[in-house]
Amino acid sequence: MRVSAWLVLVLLLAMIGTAAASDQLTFSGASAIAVDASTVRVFVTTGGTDVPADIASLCLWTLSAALGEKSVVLSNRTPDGKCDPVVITRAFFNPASAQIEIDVKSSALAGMEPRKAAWTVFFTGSRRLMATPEAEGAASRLKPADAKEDADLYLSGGFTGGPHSAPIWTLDAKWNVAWPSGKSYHWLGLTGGVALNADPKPPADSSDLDPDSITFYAQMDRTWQFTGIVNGVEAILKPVGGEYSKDPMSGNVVSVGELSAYTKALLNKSIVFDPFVGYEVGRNLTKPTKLFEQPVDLKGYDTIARVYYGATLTWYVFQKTITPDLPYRFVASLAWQERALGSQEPFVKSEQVTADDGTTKRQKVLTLKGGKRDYLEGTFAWNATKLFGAEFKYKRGSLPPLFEYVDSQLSLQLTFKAKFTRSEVRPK
Amino acid sequence: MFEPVLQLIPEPDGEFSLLATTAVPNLRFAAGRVTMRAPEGVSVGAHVRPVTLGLKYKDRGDLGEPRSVFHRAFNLKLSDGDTLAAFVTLQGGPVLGSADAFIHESDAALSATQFVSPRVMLSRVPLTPLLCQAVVVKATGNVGSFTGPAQLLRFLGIVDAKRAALHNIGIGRLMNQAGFQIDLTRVSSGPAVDVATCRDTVFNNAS
Repeated sequence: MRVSAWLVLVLLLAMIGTAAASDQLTFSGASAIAVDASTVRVFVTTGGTDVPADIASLCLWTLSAALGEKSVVLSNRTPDGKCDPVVITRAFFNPASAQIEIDVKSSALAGMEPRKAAWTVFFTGSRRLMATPEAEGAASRLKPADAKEDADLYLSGGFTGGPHSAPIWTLDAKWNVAWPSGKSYHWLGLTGGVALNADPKPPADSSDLDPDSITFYAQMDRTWQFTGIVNGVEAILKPVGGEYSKDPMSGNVVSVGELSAYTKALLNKSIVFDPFVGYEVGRNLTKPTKLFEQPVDLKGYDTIARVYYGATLTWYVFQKTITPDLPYRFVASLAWQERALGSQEPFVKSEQVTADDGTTKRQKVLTLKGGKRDYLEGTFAWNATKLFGAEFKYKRGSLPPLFEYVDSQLSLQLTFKAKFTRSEVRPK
Repeated sequence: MFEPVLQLIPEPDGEFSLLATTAVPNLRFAAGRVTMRAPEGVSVGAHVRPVTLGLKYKDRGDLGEPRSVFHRAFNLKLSDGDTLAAFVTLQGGPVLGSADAFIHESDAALSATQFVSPRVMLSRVPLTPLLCQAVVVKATGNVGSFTGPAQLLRFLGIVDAKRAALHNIGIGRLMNQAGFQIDLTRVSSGPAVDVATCRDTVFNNAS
């Protein structure tokens, strides 16, 4: 172990100062597998195209394998510095995989399982190169989420109190659990979100349990992948789901089924078209007598029976240099959906209303009717630079449960986000 | 395993019915289509009557115990000197096993003598980075656009998270067909991931 540590240190020091041109060969990782009873093949993944001429020299390689407390160093160098090609028997650059394949005698591994070992590879020829094992991720069932939307488990609680005000307890929670049923992409899950009195304003005379919104559903879904023009099909079945909202008041229980298709990326692999069709069947549970500060008649609103269909067209334009955190220069999408109603449902639209005193004002008017309801949303998200971005959004139409009609709404959001690179100028 | 046992039963009109019994390792294998031709890439000589016995494999469900699956074919026109070559294939892919039956005249009737041919017994292709790379590229559905391991998957049509998820599913399906299990949660895919990185995660997590 001490010998290998010194070897790593010496080689690391030797590598300092070695300038790397963009096309020079680099190593990015190594793994191994037993190819037969006596040979283990180590695959070193490379980058760059300038392969050194001496890459096949068996005496310029030193390999280290570690598994638990055990580690071995494999080299053809004898203690007196001579080369004896006994342990490493072959080194070869495979242009098809851009990998260097190194064959070593499996007996030199002292019984170590080559697939499980962490491999470090050194090349000390005309250039000095090293591949180190990837750090294993911590084996944890939970990992941090960026926001509530991104989280599977979310719990936020608060307490507000003061003179002449009863204590206000708030709870905002989300529980989203899924488990595979045969395949990782086929699961049965349950997702729920609960917000209890999430927006209280003191002083409050009481802090009774006052749910603001509750949603729940069970879901089964499965995805099939194809290699034709249709890249995949996804079937989603939510046999039961419920939604309750306090403002505006609505509540329903629905069963949802949806079939979506995903096309291959077309037109220079930049445009995708994803049509879908589905149904929503259920019952309305709440019939408030007053909505939007006016009396409403929802006596005929019992059944929910809808067929919906639509499609999303998305155009991706990528950055010149694509990185995982900023792949796109801009994304333009147009999503359209339409619902054909099998029963009368609310439809809310702003209209000019004349009051009894003769004054007119714009007011939300709710009517109960059937027919079709469509919704169109266009989005243009532009990452102008790594620091500056903009998002334009266009909306028109209505969505359930109350089908509040949005008439050609345009929004623009500009974002600038940056961090100081020098910590000393950041205010403490 | 996967070597069919062939039983030829004479029909009244002089033709034969074939009953093939094939041992499979678990319940996920089931009998598929029988076709009267050799699998792709396998050539047979004159007087050899090829028959392909397809196997289907489902990726989910209990593995269970090894068992036998049965294929049947009818109205086979065989004559003295013919060889019936049966190939067991997995979903039109690799040949997993084969057996030959030699047809000869005995006591004025045709009978069959079976022998297992080792020439096409390919139980499983070896796991190599090149195999994984081929799977990664094939699962994109854009094999013709592949230029090399350093190519980003974006240029093979993996343009968003949904396509990356579909790509993962395709990798899982193709690796299963090749006889390997894979932990798909550890496979990297996405527009900013290159083929080599995706390939290495497939190679390192296949068993």
